[in-house]
Amino acid sequence: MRSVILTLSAMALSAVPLTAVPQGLHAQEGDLGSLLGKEVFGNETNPSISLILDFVGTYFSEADRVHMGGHAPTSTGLALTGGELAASANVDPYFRFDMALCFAHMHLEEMVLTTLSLPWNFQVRAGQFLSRLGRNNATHPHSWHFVLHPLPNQYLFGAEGLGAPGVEVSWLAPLPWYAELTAAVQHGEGGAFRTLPLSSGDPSLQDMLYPLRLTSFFDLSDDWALQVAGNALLGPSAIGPDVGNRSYAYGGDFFLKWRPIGWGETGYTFVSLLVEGWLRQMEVPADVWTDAGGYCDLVVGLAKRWETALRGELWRRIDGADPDEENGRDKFGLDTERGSIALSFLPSHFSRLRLQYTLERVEGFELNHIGLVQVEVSAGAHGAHAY
Amino acid sequence: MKMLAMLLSLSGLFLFPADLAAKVKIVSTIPDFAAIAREIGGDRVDVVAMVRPTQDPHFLDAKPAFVVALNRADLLLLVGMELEGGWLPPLLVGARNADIQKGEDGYLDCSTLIPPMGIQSPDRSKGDIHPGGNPHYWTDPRNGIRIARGIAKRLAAIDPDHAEDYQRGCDAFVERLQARIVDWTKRLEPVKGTRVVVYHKSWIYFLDFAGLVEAGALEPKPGIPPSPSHVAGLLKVVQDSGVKFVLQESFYPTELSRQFADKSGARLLVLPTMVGASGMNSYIDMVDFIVNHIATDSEN
Repeated sequence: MRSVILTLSAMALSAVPLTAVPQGLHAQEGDLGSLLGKEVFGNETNPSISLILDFVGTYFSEADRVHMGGHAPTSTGLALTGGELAASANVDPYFRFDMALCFAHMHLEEMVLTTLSLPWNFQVRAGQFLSRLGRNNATHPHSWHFVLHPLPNQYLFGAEGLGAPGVEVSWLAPLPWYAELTAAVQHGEGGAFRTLPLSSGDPSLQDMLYPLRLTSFFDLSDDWALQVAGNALLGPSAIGPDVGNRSYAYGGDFFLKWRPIGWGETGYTFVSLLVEGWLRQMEVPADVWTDAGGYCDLVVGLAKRWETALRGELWRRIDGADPDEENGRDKFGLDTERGSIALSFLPSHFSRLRLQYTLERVEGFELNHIGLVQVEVSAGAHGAHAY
Repeated sequence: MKMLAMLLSLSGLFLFPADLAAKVKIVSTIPDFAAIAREIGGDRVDVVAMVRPTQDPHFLDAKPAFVVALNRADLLLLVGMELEGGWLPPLLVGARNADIQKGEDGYLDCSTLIPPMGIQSPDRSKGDIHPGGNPHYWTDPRNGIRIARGIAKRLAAIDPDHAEDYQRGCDAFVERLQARIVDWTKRLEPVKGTRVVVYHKSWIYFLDFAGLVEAGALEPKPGIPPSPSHVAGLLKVVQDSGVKFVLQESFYPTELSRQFADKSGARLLVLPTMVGASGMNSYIDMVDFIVNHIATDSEN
């Protein structure tokens, strides 16, 4: 064993001059050939791996409150709300592989292949993935501006967001601006949607979930950008899918961001406004429940290390029977108003401390004051953030 | 289906007139490579840069508009060494363009063309260390030559019919740059050995070229903003050691740098490191601007 260590140490020492370039050498051009063209300094055939931890301390003023699940703390106290192992790599010139495994709840969030080179601007994703619906559903907690996910999203797509095995096809339109159409077929459940388990027999096309999204992006100037999208989700209802009940959700999201980047401007300060709204119909035996709601986020980047955010959430039952113990409607959305303010401090690009206060009013429950303190860290590969 | 294909083809014709379609479409992450590519390719290339010249290239919003540019690109020029690691990967995937994926002729990581400096183990306790070395290499004009040659070679591979044109464009650019390097070296001769403090460790390549000595950095560790206590500590270390300049890019805050400069007797130079800032339209103008400021200010 000792000899192995000695051999490895000797190898490590002999490798040092290859990577540690003396500064004086930089001025000479003669013998640098062996140092150039070294794109690979580590073993890049391995996937990029990140470990992300979310640890939250929570205070709820009311013990009896609407149930939040997924990555939200469920009771006053300390909780590991996220412990994610993320890995990604190009498989070959044709496919990319991405995975996100949540240790905190021991479930696979995503494991998906993405094509890189299909013709005519098509792209296919296949595997287990979060559906592209609105701006929140396909995201992971470490990209959020708040500790909690929006309650309207929980009512719509479930506490973990809608993620299920399936196939997604997207198409980038050949237009001067960004316009992407995404359509998927998935087999799973979330919120008001539920496909029958495979044990109930071979599924038909009617049994599947169909998320659709059309996104347009407009680069208004160097400092201003606008993204608008329309969304739809069609599939079997969570109640009575076996008797043909169906659920439909239609939504839109509007995202406007101002980030000045001129001379003398740091680019760390920004203001973004996100409005996402949904209308949902859920067929249940002898009734149709119609609901509407959404949320609005105002995020202000104060400086490189400081960010504050305000959120307002609203959900309304519009039509159908009132919730009672028998019909179980309360699980799919109660009249709700919720307001939050969050302040985040980022010691570095890889860590974040966040304070959040949320005031929650949900029909049938007392007014709830929620206080949250979150620590979030990411170790490993530098994660990239989608817009 | 045929109808759809025909409509798509027509829209393509509409959107890409014949003269534009004949050009090699280049997307560069930073404007400096874009400027060099224009010098080499002239009318044969259509070049866009993703980073604005006044913007911190570490932190860019991965705007979907970039996906459109990358989707139609024949060549992607990037800094590499993970400078763009926080925003480029999702754009490359979304681009659906096989020609510019890593390993293809259309993907040129320009860090593979230069001798890297500042290589350290990428241990995050030392700050935001980039694997493979310090990525701010383009301000050294000797690297400008290497980058130009690399781009010309890659353009020749992508568009072999015009390889000679690219070689000619590259030779002309390199000749002009070499002549200026001689001038700049003379201009900088009197400041050789001058001690400077930098905000971020983004100057090591230029300092190596100019013969300036980095006495310290205002950021306690790369990517960690300066704190008053670190700046005060640095002031004690460098006081009376003849630090003449504080160098920083425009996108870093100047409050603490200004205080440091005032107290240390150094001069704060907020300088551009990307073509397009302060009205400079070429790579040579950009280096010239930096050299002139340092040489002129040291005379005063």
